[in-house]
Amino acid sequence: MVEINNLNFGYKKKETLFSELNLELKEGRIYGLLGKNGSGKTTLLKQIAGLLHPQSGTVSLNDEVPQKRTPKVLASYYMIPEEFETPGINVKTFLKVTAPFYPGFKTKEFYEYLEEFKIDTKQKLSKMSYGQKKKFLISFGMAADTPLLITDEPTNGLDIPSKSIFRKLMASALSENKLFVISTHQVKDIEGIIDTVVVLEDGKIVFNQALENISDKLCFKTLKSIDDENVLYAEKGITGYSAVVRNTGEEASHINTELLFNSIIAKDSKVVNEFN
Amino acid sequence: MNFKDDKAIYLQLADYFYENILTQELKPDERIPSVRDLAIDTEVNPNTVMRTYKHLQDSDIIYNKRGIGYFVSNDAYKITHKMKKEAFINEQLPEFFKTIKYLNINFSEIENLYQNYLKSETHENK
Amino acid sequence: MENIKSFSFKRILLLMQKTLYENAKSVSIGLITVFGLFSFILIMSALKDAGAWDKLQAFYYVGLFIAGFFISGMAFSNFRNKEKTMSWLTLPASISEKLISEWLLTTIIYIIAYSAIFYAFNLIVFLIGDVFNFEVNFINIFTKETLILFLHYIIIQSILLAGAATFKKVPLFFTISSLFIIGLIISFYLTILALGIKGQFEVFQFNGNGIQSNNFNYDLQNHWLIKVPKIMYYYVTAPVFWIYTYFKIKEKEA
Repeated sequence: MVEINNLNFGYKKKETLFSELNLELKEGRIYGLLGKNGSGKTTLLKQIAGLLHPQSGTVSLNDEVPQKRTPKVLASYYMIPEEFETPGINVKTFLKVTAPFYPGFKTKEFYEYLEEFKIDTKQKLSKMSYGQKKKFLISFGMAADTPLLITDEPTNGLDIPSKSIFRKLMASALSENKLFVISTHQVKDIEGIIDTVVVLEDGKIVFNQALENISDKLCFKTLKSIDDENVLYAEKGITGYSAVVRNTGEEASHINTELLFNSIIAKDSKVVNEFN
Repeated sequence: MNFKDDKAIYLQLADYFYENILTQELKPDERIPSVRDLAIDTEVNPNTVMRTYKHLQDSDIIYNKRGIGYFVSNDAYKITHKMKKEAFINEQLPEFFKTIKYLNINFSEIENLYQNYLKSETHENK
Repeated sequence: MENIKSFSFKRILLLMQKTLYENAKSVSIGLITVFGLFSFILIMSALKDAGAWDKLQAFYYVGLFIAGFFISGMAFSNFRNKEKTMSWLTLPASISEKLISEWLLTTIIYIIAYSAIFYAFNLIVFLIGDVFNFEVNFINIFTKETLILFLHYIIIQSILLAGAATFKKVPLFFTISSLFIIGLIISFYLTILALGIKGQFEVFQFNGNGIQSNNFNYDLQNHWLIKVPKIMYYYVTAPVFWIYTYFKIKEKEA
């Protein structure tokens, strides 16, 4: 559904943020986009949403160029940014003036989501707290029922019960023709809900693997000693080493996403090599 | 549902079914939750739940009626019991033997403890 | 989902509805300010000269431009803020639909709304006059002069619209300044023109058809030096700025 080919981009002409970046995202999946601060996660999402123009290379969304901003391509996704401004109108009015732009908008579900999040629909959007606005936008974005939902740090500003509601909503809305992208640095919040890990590092996508592939190839365990050629990455802890080990036919282990991420962005990552 | 760090989530979900089949809370031909419902309940990706169901289906513990849903198979108990027993004998029992050996506990003592456990369990269930 | 047309009038209406609802507060504050100012000036001048009530037509004209420029400065208000720009650009409507909706709101819709409110204002002044026994006339906007004035408004407004789409902060200030510079260039051009014709410097006035001073009147209506700029003004200015604005929106990033 989303295809990025040889994307080059920098905010200034001489500066490169992305160099020859390639990425393919398929429907029916929830992607976790991970990257260090400043790696350009938000910029990448904006490229997918057609809000920025590539210096060279192409972005396509269902074979259309999002940068062209045609009604068709715009109606095929919804973006929940990390920072947003809401107008001084209440939920009902916002719904009335915005929902008609999304042909598949599900009004009934929208109110159900708001109820789950305990958002008062009579309240003015501009008077809401950051967390409330976020819950409102998540509800709206999910109800818009677009094939692609892009979220940037969605759990930021949510309390613990709301994070759980967010995961439930994601789980309930996923279908074969839908694609969700969650960009985050709070890996723990989305650990169970994503099925594919994408890592952005040094202007490139260095990793894009389904959890199934990851657990087929890698094992996550605590070891006393790391003197083994199958150990691909290890971090020293109190009880021993938390290690990423080559899977030699054992049962699938729990994927420690934080450890996985660290192992991927490590210099000359052996883990990345395992998948090449 | 709280997940542990010891194995993949899809296997932990499978364990949940094994347990319910062995305690006979899930009976043959009983319908189990849909992929979506279990995904929502456990806040787990539907693809992961799908993998659990596929895993259970491959071992003939559940079966799929097209368009209706997933059901517990007739032999679910038998298969699960056999599988879990084997796993216990091969994995947990050696650990157990190792421990009672170096703690020097004899079998009669273990048996007493086990009888007490059974008593307290039936007591609790009343 | 599959059948989303690339252009739809319904979406233009939806866009206008959204803009109006979201900016209702600032638009009403603007209009209240303008009419409050009108009442104030009217009352002040009526205290000095009872004939002031006859100048309503002039008030209408001046107000049309002043309020219109403020309203136009508020066009593309989402561009004042990066986050709002993002949600506006990603709103499913085409670039031309977005441009047309902002244009309609700040020209046609604005003129109709302003005139309607002005008539209401006129009526109130009339009723007050009835009580206090002075005569108040009703303005008439269905004259050829007024229609030409609307045309001038639409032409000049295209520059303001372009400014609103270009400048991130206080577009009105920038566009008013550029209009002022354009005005200076035009008067400079006319002065040079008159100097060339008359051969000596005098204070000239441009009356639409030619150059006029106290001593003479040159009818330059058919002279290319006037004709070309006039055609440019009437037929080229607005389309050029509309196209410019279109590309500004198209290239906008957030």
